[in-house]
Amino acid sequence: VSTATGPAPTSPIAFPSRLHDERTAASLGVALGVGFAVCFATGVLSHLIQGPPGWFSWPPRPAGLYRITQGTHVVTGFALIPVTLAKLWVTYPRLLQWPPVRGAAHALERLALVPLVGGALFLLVSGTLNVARWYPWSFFFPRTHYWAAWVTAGALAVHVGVTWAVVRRTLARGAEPPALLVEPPAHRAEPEAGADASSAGPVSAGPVSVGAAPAGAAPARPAAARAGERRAFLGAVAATAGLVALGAAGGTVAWTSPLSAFAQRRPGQGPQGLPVNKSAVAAGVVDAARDLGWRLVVEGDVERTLHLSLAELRAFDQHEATLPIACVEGWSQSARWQGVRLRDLLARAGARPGADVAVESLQEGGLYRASTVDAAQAGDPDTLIALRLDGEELGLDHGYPARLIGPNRPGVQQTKWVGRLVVS
Amino acid sequence: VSVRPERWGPVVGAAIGVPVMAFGAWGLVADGDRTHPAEAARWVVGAAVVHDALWLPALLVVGGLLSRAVPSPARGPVMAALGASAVVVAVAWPFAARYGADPTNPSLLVRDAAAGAAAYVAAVWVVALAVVARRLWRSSAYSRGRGSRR
Repeated sequence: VSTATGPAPTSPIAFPSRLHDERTAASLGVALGVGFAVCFATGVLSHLIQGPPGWFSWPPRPAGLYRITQGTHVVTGFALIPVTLAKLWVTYPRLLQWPPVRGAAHALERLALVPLVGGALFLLVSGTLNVARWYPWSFFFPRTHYWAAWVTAGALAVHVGVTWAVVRRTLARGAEPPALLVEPPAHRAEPEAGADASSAGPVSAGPVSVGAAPAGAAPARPAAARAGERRAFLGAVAATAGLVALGAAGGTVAWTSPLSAFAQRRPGQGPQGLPVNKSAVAAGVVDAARDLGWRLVVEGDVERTLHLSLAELRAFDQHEATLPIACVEGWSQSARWQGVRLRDLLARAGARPGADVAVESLQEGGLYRASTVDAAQAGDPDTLIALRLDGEELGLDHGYPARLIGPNRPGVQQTKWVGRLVVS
Repeated sequence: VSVRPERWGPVVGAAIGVPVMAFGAWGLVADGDRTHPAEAARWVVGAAVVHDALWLPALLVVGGLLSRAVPSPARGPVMAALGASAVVVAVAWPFAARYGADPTNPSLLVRDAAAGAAAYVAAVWVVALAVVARRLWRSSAYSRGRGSRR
């Protein structure tokens, strides 16, 4: 029996299931590698969009791209939970291997599993709790999740390198029956075939065991029986992954909503039929937003500073756009917005073409009280200072008297209760 | 099978992975005002410890006891259903507990996650029992076939 690290170690405890083998681990590992790569790519993308460095710019089109990338991030993350737990169950005997360490290289290899396993579990737990809006910690979730993802991705690259040869060998067409990840203790060794047929009943038809107990193997074809067990186990893991993903998908994929057990939102449910991320009361803007003296101020690098009342804004050409609110927490919903094109306001103020705009809320604090609209987004005909939602006056929780709505922007950048546009 | 991947795999993996890990660790520390690195590290290590020392041993004990009570054709599906149920309950828990609810925002956490999770668990066991029934039916059909040849 050979692995990347030499002969399979032994375990002091009996793990009777023969699913603790290289091929089961490799199959789940490939799925996890793909899934975590998808989450990492979409997560880094979301991070770049929310705090773009100089070299990065996020285009306004296609308008619904962010709801897809971020919906994919969250739903894939949920699907990874059962796959990760299944993989850790399959490889658990290795954790208890005896002797625990065989030399310095082996010690390093095992130590590298702490950021891999702990990091992966942390990403899944913290992401889930963020969607549940529960923060039993003092750190700021997005940043910590983001940096921990880099640590985990690095540990995953190390792990892929270490296991690459085994994965290739064990998943190759016509490969030998896979080795167990640990040899059972000598006195508990399970025979490969035949001798445990008494526990199998009269006949064993098809895949028999996906649990912790030994299966009754079909006496003549142990390899086929093991392959059948493995297929059944992987099928059960895939089905569970699909179920958990379905549980989370209903906030963004509307047709799954009736079947969704724990999605944070339900499409259509909220003020004016649209969910709200932060209420006006929670943001502390009720009085400022209702103030009859409210004016939208357009200032900064402009020829003339504007102070526009709601009536004056309504006198501009009104434009309608159907655009989604796409939250970083994975829910999204489209709505019809009516209001003034941002570029018309900039033209009225005499801003130079190609200017960036900081959109500031009436909120006095908070990390999301302002957002930046770059030149490409500001020039888009669908980027609006919206005054109406689905034909009604904008509700207080949706940003009355005026909010920003633009194509392909994360929800936290669709600034509500806008008070000031600062051109630069 | 060539042995070369066994040699270059770890080298390539470490060449890519170690700098990436170092970048992440640097970021956690450099952004420490917001990431609180010591607490973040406790969560990372704690997640592994809770899984390895509590979650999985508990499941193994329950699974081991259950597997003794369940005859062979049903054992696999029952074990799978047990694992799937545990995962569904664990994922649903923070939603069902509604720790994150905001009284000013009724559009948040709008689902009855406990009822939803119960329905999922019920569906899991219905599927598991259907698989068991199919196996029993197949094996009894096989026995009858074999008996008639005697």
